[in-house]
Amino acid sequence: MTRAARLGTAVIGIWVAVAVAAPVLPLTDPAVQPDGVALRTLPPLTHAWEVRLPDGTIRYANEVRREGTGPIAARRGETWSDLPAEAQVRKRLFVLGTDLFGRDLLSRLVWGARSSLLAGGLAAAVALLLGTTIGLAAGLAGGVTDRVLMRITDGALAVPRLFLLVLLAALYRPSLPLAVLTIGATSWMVAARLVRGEVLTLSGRPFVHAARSAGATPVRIALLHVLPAIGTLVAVEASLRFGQSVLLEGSLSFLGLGVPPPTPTWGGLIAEGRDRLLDAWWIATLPGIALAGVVVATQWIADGVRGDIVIRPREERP
Amino acid sequence: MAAVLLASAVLTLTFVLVEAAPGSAADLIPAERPLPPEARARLEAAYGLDRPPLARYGTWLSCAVRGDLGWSISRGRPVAVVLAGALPATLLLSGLALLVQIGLGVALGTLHVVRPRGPFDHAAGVLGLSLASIPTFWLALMAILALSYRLPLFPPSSSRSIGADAWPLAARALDTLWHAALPATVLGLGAAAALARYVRAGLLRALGEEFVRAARARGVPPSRLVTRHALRATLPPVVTLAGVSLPALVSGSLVVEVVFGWPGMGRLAYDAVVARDLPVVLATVLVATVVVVAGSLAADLGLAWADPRARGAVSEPA
Repeated sequence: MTRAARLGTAVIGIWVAVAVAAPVLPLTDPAVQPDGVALRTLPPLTHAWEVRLPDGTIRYANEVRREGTGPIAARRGETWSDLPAEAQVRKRLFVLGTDLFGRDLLSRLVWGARSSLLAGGLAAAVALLLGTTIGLAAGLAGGVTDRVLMRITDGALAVPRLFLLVLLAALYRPSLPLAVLTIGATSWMVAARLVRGEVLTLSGRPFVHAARSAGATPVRIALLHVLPAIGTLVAVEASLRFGQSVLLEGSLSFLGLGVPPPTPTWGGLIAEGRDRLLDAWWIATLPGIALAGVVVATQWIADGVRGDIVIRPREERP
Repeated sequence: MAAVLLASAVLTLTFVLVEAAPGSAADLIPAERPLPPEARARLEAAYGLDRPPLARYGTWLSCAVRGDLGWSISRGRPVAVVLAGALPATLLLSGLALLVQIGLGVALGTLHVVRPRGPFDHAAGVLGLSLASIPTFWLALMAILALSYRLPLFPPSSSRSIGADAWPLAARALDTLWHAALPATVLGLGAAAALARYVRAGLLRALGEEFVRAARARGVPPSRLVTRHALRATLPPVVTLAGVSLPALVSGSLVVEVVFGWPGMGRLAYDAVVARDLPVVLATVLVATVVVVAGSLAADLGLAWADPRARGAVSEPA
């Protein structure tokens, strides 16, 4: 593995770990809006003060001074000078700032990773399963089956995917399973072509002949003999497909047609920040950096794994 | 031939998808109260929804072939008319993006080979990887933030200035180009990265070949060697890849048009989804596919021009 591939694995690993651990991490609830006035659109690394009154109510303030008997707290547009002396004041740091409704952006980014990576990962799995099956079937069956399957693949490649996904989102109600299925069902073509090409070069090899002469069924040859031999190729495509699926889900969520709110997703977060680019740039910027980082990481992994293939056979055309 | 087959496949696919979707087209007609059953039946009869699916499929096909794509519910005009208004804007945007993609891809690729494994090579590699990984819709937002808001160089949305209708033709053309600069660049950047890799590989291969060595022996300076001799040899893969990247380009135009308020097919599709105007969404999928197929045919012709060896292959019936 190259250094870049290790780095890529680390990036993906950390994101996945953070996403899985989100419920137990010391984060605020991503949906909770404690105070839409004091906490609205705070830039990254901003402090706010939590003022706990003796009766248990909590107020949020942007500034707190201690003068004489009790604290004096100020919120945008108002000052509370009548706070009792027993009021407890706690400082809170918003590492990545807050969004339009005063929700903690760090928490939303981590919870967004959950849905974005889950949707991307499952969609990539669907695409790989479909693509590998079709590629194996076409490569091993040959003849008319092969030609028909490859024509379908070529045709599917020519359809602008996002238009089709938008249509599907219009026909059905947007949801996580729908995003997974539709992205998966429109992303299998590259895997199918790669696997078929590899199978064609492998099917002339002695070990395939040996298996066939020993009476192995085509399905057994495909699954037990050919599939293990193309593992690296599938791994490369898996890594790239994961990145592309996360991107595609991001596009859909950005358009409001992916995983529906209130579930936070990276694409959805970027969409929320879109109207406030001027005065709250961080809302749209930070999730975009996270998204691009994950995709770069998948490319690094793919490049690293691909470097381990000594001979890379060229794709054969009928 | 293949193009006709593909178009009919898309027509069939969209029909099946709509048929399989829950609900009936009568639900799409906005009404203040739920329709009484007899009114609903009358409506379904008026729109032919009570006919068997196969008969409606035949009507759908024959109408589409004659250019009748139905009636836009949200705009109250024939879908074909609505689409005809949006198509030129998309073609212009995609065409400009293609130019950006090829220009930048070739430039980046050439930068790679100035000194293989040198600083330029690495810098171009890092730039290419980032460009390929950045989500288009996010890049569009960042471009607006940086180049429309912070540095007001380009307009953030629309395709022409207010009052531009009264300007002379040349001024209007310049105005449109000025508005298209940002969206077209954003759209072309992502695909440029993939192209740069191919140009790099092609250039490195060409630089090792005999005709380049012969030119070098004649005393041709290195810069001319790359620009005049080696680059020509990389033209075929550039044309092929430009053709292959068309679906992604048209898909990408959807989000770019939405972000930049560009009045093309992508924004039309998005607006139609929001307005639940299904006939328009269906038609955009079809027309986007036709655009891609036509572009691929153009790329094949371009390949024949770029690579004399490919001429025989293209003239054969596909």
